[in-house]
Amino acid sequence: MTGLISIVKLLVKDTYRGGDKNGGRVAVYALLAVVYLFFEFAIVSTLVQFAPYFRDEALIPEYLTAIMIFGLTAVSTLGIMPMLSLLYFSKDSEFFLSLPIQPSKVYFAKLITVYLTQLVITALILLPALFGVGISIGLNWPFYIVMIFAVLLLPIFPLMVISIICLPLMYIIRFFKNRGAAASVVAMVLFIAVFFGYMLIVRSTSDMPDADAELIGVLIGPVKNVSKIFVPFLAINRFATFTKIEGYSEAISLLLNFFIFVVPALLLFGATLVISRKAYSRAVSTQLENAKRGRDSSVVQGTMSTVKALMTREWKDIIRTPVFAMQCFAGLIIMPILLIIMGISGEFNMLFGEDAETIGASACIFWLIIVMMMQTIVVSTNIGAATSVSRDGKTFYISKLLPIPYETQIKAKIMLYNLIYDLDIVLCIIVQLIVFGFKAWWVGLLLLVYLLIVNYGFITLCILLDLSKPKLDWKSYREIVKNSRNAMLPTLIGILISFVINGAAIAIFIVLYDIISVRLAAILVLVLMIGGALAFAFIMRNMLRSNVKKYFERIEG
Amino acid sequence: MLKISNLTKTYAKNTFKAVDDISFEVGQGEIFGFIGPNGAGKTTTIKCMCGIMPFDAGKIEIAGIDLVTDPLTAKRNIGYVSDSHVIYDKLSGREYVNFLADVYEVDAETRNKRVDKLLDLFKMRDSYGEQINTYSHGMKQKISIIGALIHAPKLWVLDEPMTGLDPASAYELKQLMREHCKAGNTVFFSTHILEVAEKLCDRIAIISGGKIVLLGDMDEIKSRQNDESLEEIFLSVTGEKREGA
Repeated sequence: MTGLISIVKLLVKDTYRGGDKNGGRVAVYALLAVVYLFFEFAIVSTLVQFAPYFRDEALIPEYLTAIMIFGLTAVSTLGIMPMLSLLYFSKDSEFFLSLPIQPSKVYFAKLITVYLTQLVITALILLPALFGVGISIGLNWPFYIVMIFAVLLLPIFPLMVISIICLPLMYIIRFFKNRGAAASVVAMVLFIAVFFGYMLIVRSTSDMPDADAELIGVLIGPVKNVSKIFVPFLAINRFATFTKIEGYSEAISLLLNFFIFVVPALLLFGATLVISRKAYSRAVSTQLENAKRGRDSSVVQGTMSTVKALMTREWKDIIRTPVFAMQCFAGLIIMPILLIIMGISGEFNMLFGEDAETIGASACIFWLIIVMMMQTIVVSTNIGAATSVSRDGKTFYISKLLPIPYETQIKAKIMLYNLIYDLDIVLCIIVQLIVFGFKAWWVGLLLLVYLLIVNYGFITLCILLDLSKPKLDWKSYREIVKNSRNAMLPTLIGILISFVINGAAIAIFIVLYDIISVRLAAILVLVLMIGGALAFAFIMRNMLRSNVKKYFERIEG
Repeated sequence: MLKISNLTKTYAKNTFKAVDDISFEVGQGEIFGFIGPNGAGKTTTIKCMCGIMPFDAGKIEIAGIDLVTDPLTAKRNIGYVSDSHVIYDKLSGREYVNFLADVYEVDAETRNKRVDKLLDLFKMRDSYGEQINTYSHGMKQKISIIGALIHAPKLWVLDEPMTGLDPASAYELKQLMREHCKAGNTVFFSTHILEVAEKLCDRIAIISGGKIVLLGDMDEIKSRQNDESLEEIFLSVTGEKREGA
C-alpha cells in the first residue's frame, strides 16, 4: 500500500509540478482559473435561473441528471488527453519495470492518478452547478452530502468511455506509427463534435420563445428523454431529493435509488479495470519492443534541389512530432469542417439572392466575418512558422554549418508554410462558395487574394520574430509550442490584425453601401483590404531580408 | 588546408576568454589531434572553425578561403561530426544522409556508391531506413559520420569521435581517417583518448585555458620530451601532473 501511494505521489508531482522557471506555469494556471471562473459563473447563473421552473414541474431529478450528463461530457472531453498520455502513452515503462515493483501496482497507481484528475475536473465542473441549483430551490443538507458522494463515483463513467475508445486507438496508433497522432485526431474529432452539437442547438433554438416559462416548455421534453437513458444518474438524483419511485414507499424508493446508482457504477468500474488493463499492457509492450515494421533499407535514392531538401526536412520534422503537427495543422483541418457544419446547419441561401450580379449587404458583411474567422483560426495560429527556428533546438548548429545562404534557408521555410496554408485557404474559399451558395464569386476571389497576401506577410512576421530571439535550449516540445513567447506573441498579433482590418472593413462597408451601391462599396473595401495586405507583406519581407544574416550570425549554435 | 590566426572568443560579455589568441595550421594529408582538458576551449575552437559560432578576433581559412568573407565556399569543404551527435532524429538514416547529399549537391550515383561503402563498413544497412530516434548512441554517431563524409570533404572535423563506438567501429573509423588523409584530405579531431591521438595523429596541439600550450609533430614532441608518453606530456604541459602519480 505504501508503495502504491508513493507511486501515485510521484506521478502526480511529475504531471502537475512546474519546471525550474515556474513563472510561466503559474501564469498559465492563473489564466485557466480566470477562464474557469468566468465560464462556471455564467453556466451556474443560467442553470439557477431555470431551476425554479423545473421544481414547479416536479422535474428536479431530471434537471439535475441533464446537468450531470452535460458536465460529464465536458469531463470526458477534457479528461481524454490526460488519460491517454498518463496511462497509455507515457514513456516511463522501462523506468518502472527496472524497479522492484509489481507491474500491476504501477498500473493501479496510474489508474488512481487518472481517476484523481477526472475527479478534480468533475468536482470543479459539477459541484458548483449542482450546489447552485440546490441552494436556489432550497434543498436540504442531505442533498449536498449525496452530491459529494455522487461526484466521487461519477468519474467512473467517462473513465469507462475513454477506456473503450482507447482499444481501437491502439490500432490507429500503429497505423500512424505515432502515438501522439491518435491523441491529436481524437482531440480534433471531439472539438468538431462539440461544435456540431452547438450549431444544432443554436439552430433548434432559433425559433425560441422569448419568455423563460415558454422556453422551459420547449426544454422539458429533451430533459426527460435524456434522463431516461441515464437511469443511474436519475436514481442518485432521486435519492438526493427524496423523490419516490411510483408504486414504492419512501424507504424502499431510497434504497432502490441508491443501489441503481452504486451497483452499475461498481460494475462499470470493474469493466473499466479489465479493459484499461488490457490496453495498458498492450501500450507497454509496444513501447518496450519499440516495434519496428519492415522498412526499405535500400540505398538507391534520387536527388532534389537544396530548397526542396530543406522544405522536405522541415515538413517531416513537423508531421513526425505530434505536438507540432497538432499545433500547426489543427486550424487547417478544423476550419473547412467548421464551414461545412455551418453551411449544413445554417440557412445562408437567403442572404445571397438568385442573381449573381446582385449581392446583398448582409452577404458582404457575413463574408467579411467569415474571413475574420479564417484569419483568426487559420492564418493567425501558424505555430509552425512562429517556431520554425526554435524547433531546431540543439540541431540549429546544422543550419549554420551547411553551405547554404541563410536567406535560402529562410526562403525554404516561408515557401513550405505558404504552400500548406495557401492550400487550406483556397480550400476554405471553395467550400464557402459551395456550401453557402455564394453567387458573387468575384467577392470570394478578391477575398482569396487578400488572404493569400496577408498569409504571406504573417508567415514572414512569424519567422522574423522567431529568428530575432529563438528559444533553442528546450527539453520538451511543450516548452516551445505552449509556454513560449515565440508561439503566443505572433498569434496575439495575428488575431489583433484580423480584428482590426476586418472590423475596419466591415465598418467602412456599412458606412459606404448606403451612400454608393453595395457592389461599389464591396469593391472599394476589398481593394483597400488588399492594398493594406500588400503593404503589410512588403514591409515584413523587407524587414526579414535586411535582418536575416544579422540574426543568424548572432545566434550561437 | 586549415589556417587559424589569432583566434579569440569570449563569453559572458567579454569577461571570460574561452579561446585566447590561438594560431596554428593544418596541412593537406594530415591527421591533426586537438587535445585538452575539460573546458580548455576545444569545442569552442571547433565550432568557430565550422562557422557555427562567431568569434571576436582572428582569422580562419579553410582551403585558403576566409570563413568570414566567403563562408559558403569555406563550409563546402568541411564535414563536421559534433560531440553530442544531435541531429534530426525524426528523419530516418537514409533521409538524413540524403538531405545532406542534396545540400552539398552530391549526384545520385556518387552518393549511392559512398553510402553503400560506409553502410557496409559500419554495418548500418539494416537500420538505415529507421528513424534516428530509435538508434543507439553509437548508431547515431555512425550516421553522423556517414552524413559528414557523403560529400567527401577536404577537411573532416570530428569532436570526440570515439565516444560511444564499439571497438570494431572505432577501429574502422581510424582506418577511415587514414584513408581520408591518404586521398589528400585532412582530418582534424579532438579527443580525450590520448592513446588514440598518439597512434593516429601526425601532428597535435594541446590547448589549456584557451591557449595552445604545445604544438607540433608527434615524433618531434616525444623526442623533445625525452620519449615520455603523450599522457605524461599532456599532464605536464597542462599542469595537471601530481607528485608520485
